[in-house]
Amino acid sequence: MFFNNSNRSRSTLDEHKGDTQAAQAPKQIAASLESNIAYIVQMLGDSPDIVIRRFEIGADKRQVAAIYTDGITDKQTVSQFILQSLMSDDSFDPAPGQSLLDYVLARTLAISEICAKSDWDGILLALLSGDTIIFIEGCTDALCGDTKGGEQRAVTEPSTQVVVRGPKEAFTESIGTNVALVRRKIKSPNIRLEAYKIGSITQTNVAIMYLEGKADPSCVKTIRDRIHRLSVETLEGSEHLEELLSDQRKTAFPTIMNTERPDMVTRNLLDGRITIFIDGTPFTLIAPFTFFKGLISAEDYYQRPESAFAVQALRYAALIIALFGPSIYIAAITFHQEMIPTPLLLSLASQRESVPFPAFLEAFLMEVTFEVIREAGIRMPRAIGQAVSIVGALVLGQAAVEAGIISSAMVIVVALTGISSFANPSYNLATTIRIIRFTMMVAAAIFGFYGIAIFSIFLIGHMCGLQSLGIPYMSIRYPYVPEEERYTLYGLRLGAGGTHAQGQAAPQSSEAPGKTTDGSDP
Amino acid sequence: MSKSSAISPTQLFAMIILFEFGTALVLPIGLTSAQNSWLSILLAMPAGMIFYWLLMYLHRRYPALILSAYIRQIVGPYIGLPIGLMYGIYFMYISARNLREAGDLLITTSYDQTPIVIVHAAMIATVIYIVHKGVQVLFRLGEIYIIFIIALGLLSDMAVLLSGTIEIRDLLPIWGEGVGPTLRSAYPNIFLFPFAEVITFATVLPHLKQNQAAGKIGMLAILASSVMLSMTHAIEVSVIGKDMYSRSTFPLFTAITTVEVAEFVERLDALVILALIIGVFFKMTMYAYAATSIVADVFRIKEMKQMAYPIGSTIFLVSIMSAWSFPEHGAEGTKSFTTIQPIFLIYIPVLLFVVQLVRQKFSRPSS
Repeated sequence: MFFNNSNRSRSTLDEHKGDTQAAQAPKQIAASLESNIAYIVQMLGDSPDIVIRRFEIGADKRQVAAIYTDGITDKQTVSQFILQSLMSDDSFDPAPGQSLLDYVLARTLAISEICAKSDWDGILLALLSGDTIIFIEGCTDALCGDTKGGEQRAVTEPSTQVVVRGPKEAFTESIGTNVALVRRKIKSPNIRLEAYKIGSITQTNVAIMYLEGKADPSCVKTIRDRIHRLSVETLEGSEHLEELLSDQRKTAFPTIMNTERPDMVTRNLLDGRITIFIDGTPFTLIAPFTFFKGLISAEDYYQRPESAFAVQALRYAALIIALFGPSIYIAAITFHQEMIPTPLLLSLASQRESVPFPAFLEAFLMEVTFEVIREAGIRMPRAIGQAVSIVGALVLGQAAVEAGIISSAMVIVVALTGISSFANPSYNLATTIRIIRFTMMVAAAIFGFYGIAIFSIFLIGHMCGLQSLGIPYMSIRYPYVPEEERYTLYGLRLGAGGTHAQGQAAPQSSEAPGKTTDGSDP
Repeated sequence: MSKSSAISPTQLFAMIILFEFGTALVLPIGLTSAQNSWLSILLAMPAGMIFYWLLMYLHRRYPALILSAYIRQIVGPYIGLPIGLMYGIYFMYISARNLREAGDLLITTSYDQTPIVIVHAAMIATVIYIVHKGVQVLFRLGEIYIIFIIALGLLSDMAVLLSGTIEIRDLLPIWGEGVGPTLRSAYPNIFLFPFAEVITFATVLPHLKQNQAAGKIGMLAILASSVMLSMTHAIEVSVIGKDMYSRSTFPLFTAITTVEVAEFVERLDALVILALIIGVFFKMTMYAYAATSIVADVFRIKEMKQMAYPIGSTIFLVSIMSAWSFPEHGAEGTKSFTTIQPIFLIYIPVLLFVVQLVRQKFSRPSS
């Protein structure tokens, strides 16, 4: 597979080994088979899942060992194409001057990807990645055959980013599968894929993909530079990499987007963004990410522009409710009672009569309760989930109101706020909004509407200062894509579809991209 | 895109409108002309445009320099340096005045229990933060808030129209006492405030992305903002009448409190307060930014950001200490209209322009 291309991959195994192993550890393999096997056994701590299969080949009964890691190799490939082909062929006949190794490489092994290696770092890494290593007595090279395999999850429906109309496939944990899912949708030769290995211990495969001619070269360069600068021991999932690659750490806002949908990746590649695949997680990263982009859902591309626009407007409204809902209630009740129409004020006042807490404390209590229920709902085994919602809705909502601890208006406000925050298509952006909501409540409790206004300016000012790969976070449209214009609030050109081919930079890509985004699976 | 401190034409447009609105939206700017204030605004507009053209002219001669830097170029470092510094001080003073106006409106309307220091501190903290972030963040913020302000304006206008409190007759008679009072309120009052205040933009023009568009965009922004201002003030007068308009401290606020639609939408004061907070914020931040960049330029401070804190703190202190009460603050303002404002907003710029013309005329043959 492409991740074997070690010329570009960043192997930091050297440094790591320098820490843990004695300095006299050999860099190259020896000619003696036994010493090589002994070295591997010692290096890997006599691990039981390292399978060492010894056998003899050829007429001169040369000692050979095939070594692989159980579980991450495809056993059938190992036995069928390596062991069987080596052992069944007794008529070894290397041409004069041709070494046995070259002969085996050229004639015997019926496997698509194989190479000779002599450095221990490369061999160990290949072994631990699922390759089969063949040592031959007397040879100072070892053969590494690609036999990666083992148990993997199949491509299933996306579980976190569901759409009504659109492809029903999601990424898996395997980076190869994920790249293939995208490749299948964009058949342009301009797709560029660059593979890296990150983490001196985990050696995680990471790949960046972009569409040459569409992606901003400066963004590609930025991300490449940042990956090269990374010096981490481990890489756990996409969140970790997101944090490492972000422009700024001191912010609650996500400046890199994640998705588990291949069609979202396709869409964004065509728009000139860069995708980062990480082995071991179905969530790929997309950058540069701007705030307004975060409010576009995959669904928008599968609906008529009119309804997509309406839904989008609704989402903005939901965002505002999620952010300001409780704060406005607190401000109005505490500072600006005159703003509330008299009949409503009377009704609110009579509700709040028995409530012993100030509005802020009341809102705070309810919001925290809501967050606890939400958190519990995610972590809990599915069977109990229903019980939690009953407890949450009935016991905490109705009972608390009847007991006179909180007002029923507050329950409405909190429920509305909670639901609104889930209308945000970007889950991590919604989480950020929820955190900021609490700060906003404090501002409202101190200064009323003035506090909300000032804190909003502060907040939006903060967001205006953010960048994603050097692109301002609050760019209203970046990159400028005519097609996308009808989905963003700023330039609402309803029914301006059919301009898809504008600005096609790639001469041969025109047949593939147009189809993939219309909801028809290619 | 990669140039981090580049301002796009849209952002300039948005910012000029927000800046012109500032406090002018809420304060009774056409005091002497009462029901004709809307006309005064439109009459003052051409001069505002000419003034902006003058700024653009100077900017074209020195495209990479800010106000204080080209003052030094035009009149030489010995006179130029103190003039530049005085502009910095003047900008700080006006910024403080703006803060005081917002603070007093807030105190009189909803926050009578809150000390003015706290109200001002919250605002100045945000101003310092934004100035510290730099000019691009400020202008980007303006680009987002212009949408908000316009939505707010439409909403309020709609509410006022629907409530049926508009009495067009209040706008009559037009020029009842002749053209005199209307013109007198236009020049110099309305010309000075808000139109000539665009001089602060002379400190951001070098950051523009497309220099050639700045002139046209600025003119458009001035036109748009004066039409909207004129409309707002006409509505104010027609809702509360000319007497009330001249007497009240914040006529827009008084006007909006009379609105009642469908027995439900009433007391839209919060919208006005919001508009004022936003307007004042952008105006005083623009002034604070202008002061910061001028001080940084005059004292040759490389990192302009560092100056945000001292300048902000000074503005904060001045805003509290400059006057004991709002009437005193108002009296001071009226006095400044006849004394210091014309110096900074008319005499010096015109003088610069003349000197520049003369210099050009005499230096051309030699070069």
